[in-house]
Amino acid sequence: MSNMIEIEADKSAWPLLLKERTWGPWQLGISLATAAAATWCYIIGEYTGYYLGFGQGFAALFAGSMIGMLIVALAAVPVCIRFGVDSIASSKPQFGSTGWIIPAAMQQISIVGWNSLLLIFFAKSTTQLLIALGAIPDGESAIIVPATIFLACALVFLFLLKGSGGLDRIAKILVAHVFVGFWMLYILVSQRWGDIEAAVPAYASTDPLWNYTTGVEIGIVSLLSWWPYIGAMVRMAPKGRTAAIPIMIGMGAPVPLLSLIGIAGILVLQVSDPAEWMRTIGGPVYGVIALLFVAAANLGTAVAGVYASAIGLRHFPGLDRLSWPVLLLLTIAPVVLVGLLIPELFFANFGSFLAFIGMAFAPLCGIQIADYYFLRHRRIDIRAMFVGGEGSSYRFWAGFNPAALLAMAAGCGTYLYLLNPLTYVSHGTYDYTTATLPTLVVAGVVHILVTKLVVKPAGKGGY
Amino acid sequence: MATQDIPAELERRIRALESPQGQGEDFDGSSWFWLLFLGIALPVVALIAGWSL
Repeated sequence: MSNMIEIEADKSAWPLLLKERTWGPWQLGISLATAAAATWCYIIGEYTGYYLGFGQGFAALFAGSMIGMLIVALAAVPVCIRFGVDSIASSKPQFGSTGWIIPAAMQQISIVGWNSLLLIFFAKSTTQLLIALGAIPDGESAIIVPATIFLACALVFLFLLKGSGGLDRIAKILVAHVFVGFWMLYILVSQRWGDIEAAVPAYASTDPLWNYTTGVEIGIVSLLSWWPYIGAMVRMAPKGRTAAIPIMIGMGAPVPLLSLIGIAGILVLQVSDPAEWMRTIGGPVYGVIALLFVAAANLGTAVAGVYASAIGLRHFPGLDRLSWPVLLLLTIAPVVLVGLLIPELFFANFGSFLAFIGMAFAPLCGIQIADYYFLRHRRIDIRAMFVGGEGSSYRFWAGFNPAALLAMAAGCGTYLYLLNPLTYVSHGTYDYTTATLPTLVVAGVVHILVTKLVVKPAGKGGY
Repeated sequence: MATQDIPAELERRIRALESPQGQGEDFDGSSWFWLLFLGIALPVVALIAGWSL
């Protein structure tokens, strides 16, 4: 009976007890690395390669990624790891017992967007390789792409039927793909180093500082995307001490390292998909290996994303008692729809999608950091996170905290002023500060000010 | 005190986690060292090194 309850807790948004949180540093690091290392690294690398060469691109992406990882670690992880809760629950002390639906909506949009991107990328790679190998005629892609997306979604569903146990098992197997990725990078660098050095980024600005800052910005916002994922995984570990290095190394470092594949590919061959350029360099065998790599990479990340997304949905009234398989289907369905109906939209607007991530998650992280460290001084009311009725500390006004709402608005406004997500036209201090970092600071400061001037004097929020 | 009814199992979990002994551990000194080293010091070094390339 006790075991049954533990299994069910694993599939719910309820807080996990210490005895249920058994992941050590290696297990956590492998799961985080498997979630982070996916095809999006090539696309992130591709976008960086539009503005920067190989060396500068890596330096900017690496710096940005590690800074972004630190921001996410400081924002969500302390509450998740202390109370065994996911990222959405960790936002309730700031957004309120109803206002958490704002981060929850952001989580769903972000994960659906990323998973759609991954599965469409995988489907396109599969189709191109099958056509190149002569396995299917050129006009069959209209069938193969949706069929591949369906197959991938079905596999994700099956892997996750047993909750985080499925996540752990798939992570242990698929983490091998990270090493295959580095082998592919070695092939490209060793065979085409001269071309890589001589390549000129296609859309580089005449201002080298703007290019460099944009590389850092891409790194930061890419890693802010891990906010929705990280809570569902770090809650399986019981100690911050054993989680800090796995988070920074396991989840932060693989992105810039694997993005080198995308930077090199776009600079030399004008394509970031390794399944395509590996075939160009090494023939069909290399193409098949690259495709297997793409499949493994995307599947691991999609499994982690759907799991985090399903746990996030558990917070919604009505969905908390839904059976786990039905909840999984609900979580996967939007990915299938996006992948089938508007596959090109995500590829064409990836830069804007990244900027949306920065615009949405930078203020959220700023608010969480300011609230946890400077306002609450690490005091969290676990009961108020799950009991949201009248009298709850996190009830605020009708379940919403105006300080967090105003801080979100101020943060989004700051981001929009500094960097237009659609045109990438920048203003103000962007060249020196990026858009994300000032956004984070402005949101945090506004949250502190409104809390001290309005919320605390009104006796709300449990401060 | 909140007034909402909650499942007995959730109540049991909340009670356990309200005690500091039932909670996980926040970042300690060693964690902060690694977070700041990997999240600030190393990126600064990377940025300086990368700019000169």
